[in-house]
Amino acid sequence: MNLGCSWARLEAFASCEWASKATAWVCVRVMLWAALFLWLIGNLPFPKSCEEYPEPLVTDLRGSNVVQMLTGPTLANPTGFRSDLTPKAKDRLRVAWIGGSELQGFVSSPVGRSRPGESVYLPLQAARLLEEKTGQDVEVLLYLLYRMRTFDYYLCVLDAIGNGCDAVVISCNSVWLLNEKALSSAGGLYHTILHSGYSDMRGLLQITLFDGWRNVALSVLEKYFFAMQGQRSIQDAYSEFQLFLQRPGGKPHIEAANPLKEIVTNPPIGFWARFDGVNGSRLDSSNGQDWVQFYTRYVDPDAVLAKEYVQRCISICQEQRIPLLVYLAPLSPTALQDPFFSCAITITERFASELAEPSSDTSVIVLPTIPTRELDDLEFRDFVHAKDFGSMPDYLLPSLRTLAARAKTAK
Amino acid sequence: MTDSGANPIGYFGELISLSIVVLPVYYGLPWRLARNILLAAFGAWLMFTVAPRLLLFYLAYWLFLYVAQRAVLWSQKGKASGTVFFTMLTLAISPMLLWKAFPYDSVVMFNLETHRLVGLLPGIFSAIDAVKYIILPLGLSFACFRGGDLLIQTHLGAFGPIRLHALLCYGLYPPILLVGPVAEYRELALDAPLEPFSAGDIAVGLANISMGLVKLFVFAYPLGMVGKLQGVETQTTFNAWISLVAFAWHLYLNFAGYSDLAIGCARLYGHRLQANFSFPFFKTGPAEFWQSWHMSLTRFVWRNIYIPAGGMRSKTQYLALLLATLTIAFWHALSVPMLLFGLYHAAGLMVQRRLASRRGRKAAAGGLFQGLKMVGTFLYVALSLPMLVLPLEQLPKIYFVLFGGRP
Repeated sequence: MNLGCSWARLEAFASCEWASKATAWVCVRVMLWAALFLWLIGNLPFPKSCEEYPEPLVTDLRGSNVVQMLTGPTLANPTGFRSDLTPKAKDRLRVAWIGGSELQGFVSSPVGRSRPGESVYLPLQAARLLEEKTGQDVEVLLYLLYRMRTFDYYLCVLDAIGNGCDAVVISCNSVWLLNEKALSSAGGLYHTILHSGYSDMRGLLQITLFDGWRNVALSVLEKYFFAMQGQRSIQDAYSEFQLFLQRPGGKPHIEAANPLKEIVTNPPIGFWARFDGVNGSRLDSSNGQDWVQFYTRYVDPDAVLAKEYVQRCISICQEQRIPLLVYLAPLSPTALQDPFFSCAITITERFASELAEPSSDTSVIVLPTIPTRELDDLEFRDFVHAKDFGSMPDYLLPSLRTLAARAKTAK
Repeated sequence: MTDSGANPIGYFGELISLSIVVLPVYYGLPWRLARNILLAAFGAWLMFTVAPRLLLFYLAYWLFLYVAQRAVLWSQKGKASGTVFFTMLTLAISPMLLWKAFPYDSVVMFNLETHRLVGLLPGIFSAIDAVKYIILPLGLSFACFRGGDLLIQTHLGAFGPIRLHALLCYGLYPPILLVGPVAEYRELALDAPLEPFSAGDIAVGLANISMGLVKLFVFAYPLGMVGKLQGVETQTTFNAWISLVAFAWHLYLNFAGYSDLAIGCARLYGHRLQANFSFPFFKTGPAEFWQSWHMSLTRFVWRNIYIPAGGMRSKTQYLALLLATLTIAFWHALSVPMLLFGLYHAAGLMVQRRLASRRGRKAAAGGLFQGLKMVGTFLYVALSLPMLVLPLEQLPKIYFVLFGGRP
């Protein structure tokens, strides 16, 4: 076997010089065919995975009464919200449950990279318990987004109301609730609902490869299209920060006019550098290292904007006469002992207590303390993420029953 | 928890997409100056979208190189030429050395200081930079080696004074900014007469890009899901080898894929970069492997380290080999595992050279023997990869499992 000749041919092929004889018309034809091919592939009925994201969540929830409402980016539906929800069945209690990764118990795999069957979901457990105890048919619309911030809470509440929810449950994570500065970094901005509606390269490949390529081209064009149109200035188009406030299409979703300006002037970069943002192992916490722990250092009792959006969630629910439950997500007992976490928890509990102050409106329930102070059977993977929710569903049950009863009354 | 600041595929996606507009303008410009400025501006724009502070750093760096190259040229006729040259060279590669030596502190300082400097510019730049995460100095190793190579070649008389627009174009040349290759200045020929438009260049460029995409998405991406070295020490020996082999192929196809993208994009603009990979896992010895793996880096090390260190002389060839492999190793990181990596490959190269010198020239071996040598070379290289990516404390465990130990 003459390997030398074969290798020479292979290397010649790999160099692509065989294409050098192409004419301009050949190039044009190739590009046209490629564009046609990509368009055809992009329109194939792939998936379901386009509308259901992330995959383990979908598989784990299949057949249950929990519907994941936050989808991955697609061109057909760039909003980030599921648009194909079936109308609510009569006599069924539809509950919107809004929160972050604390709703997902990671049994045996790292956060965010679980495979089907490796996660448990608090809303699912709680809904089943409620059904069991009350005989009520319960459907949960799950608005789960990692590192969710209060601005996203508000959008989710609006979407939940639009989908005819009878009640809303909001899980507040002490790490993120009053932590605008950590969340307003460019990396954190990718975790907004609105930004997920943009063609962001991260996670695109998880949907379909072909959608990804379509979005690559269009995301670039979209940026320049809007800039050229003048609907957004170059400053807006290229400030990730401004994108945070705009829906695709350039129409502002809310009336906010640059309310996060103070965060721009006090940039997150200082925060990350000051708090060892590059390498979590430099942390001097008693637990060694945990990147979530140093995020917590920036929980801000004066997080005006975060508080404003929580208040907006409450106001809109009151206005729409929809019962609302706000509770603080459980954290591990070690978090309660960690100096930075305990400080963040104190700040958050103080804020939750202000929300819980007695008012004439009984449709809003606020549980202002970290459940871990009362429950000792939860198992945690780290400071924030549970492996087993233990009696957490039972802890929430009385409030959920109250919600269900008030939802019935409100109808 | 660092954000690299740029996903390479996103970077190339933007580069290719914007080339739809830039290419016709480029070929429509009948002046070298204008074309160089256009390409430099294009590269600057891409850097800006990663983070304005990164662009500021690289503009400053390549402006320094412009001055340094002039200084080296100016001093050539004087007595201090060596001093000036080594000073400039040291300064040119010092950002990379600092980063490798103090990875944590230097990255933090890099971000803080460059962000502070961006703050001296009009507010819009600071606002945009503010939302950018802490970033690693993308492409720094490649830039420093390119800058260093330029100064060395200047000192050796290969170049006269390079004009600013050509130097900035070289420094900010879009296809090679992020992931290389370590292209020589002469490969881009930015002082030469204009390259005419050729449909063949476009076709070859597109073919290279397509080939890169196939390597990345059809092969490297799925292999990357299987080939993970973290946690291999908890697997059985068989599974550990599967992971190692998959990782080796993933590493190669991923790197080669991006190289193809870079070479293809450069070809769109009429520039012929040299190949960076040539089927390295099908070579029959360590020397052949290194002659076909990350060839731009090997070429750099060959001409700037190996030859000057006496690689062509029998008495100093082994020392030169050692220095060359250690340079390649430390280019990746200054760490004990990389030292081991360099020594491992130096040993392989020395043994091969020693055996070859003893055996002398022989007739080409049969296909089966060649095949065995290929497999042996692949396994030899694959076994070194844990040293490339894992921390020191994990290495004994992984090799224990690979050689039959129980997890």
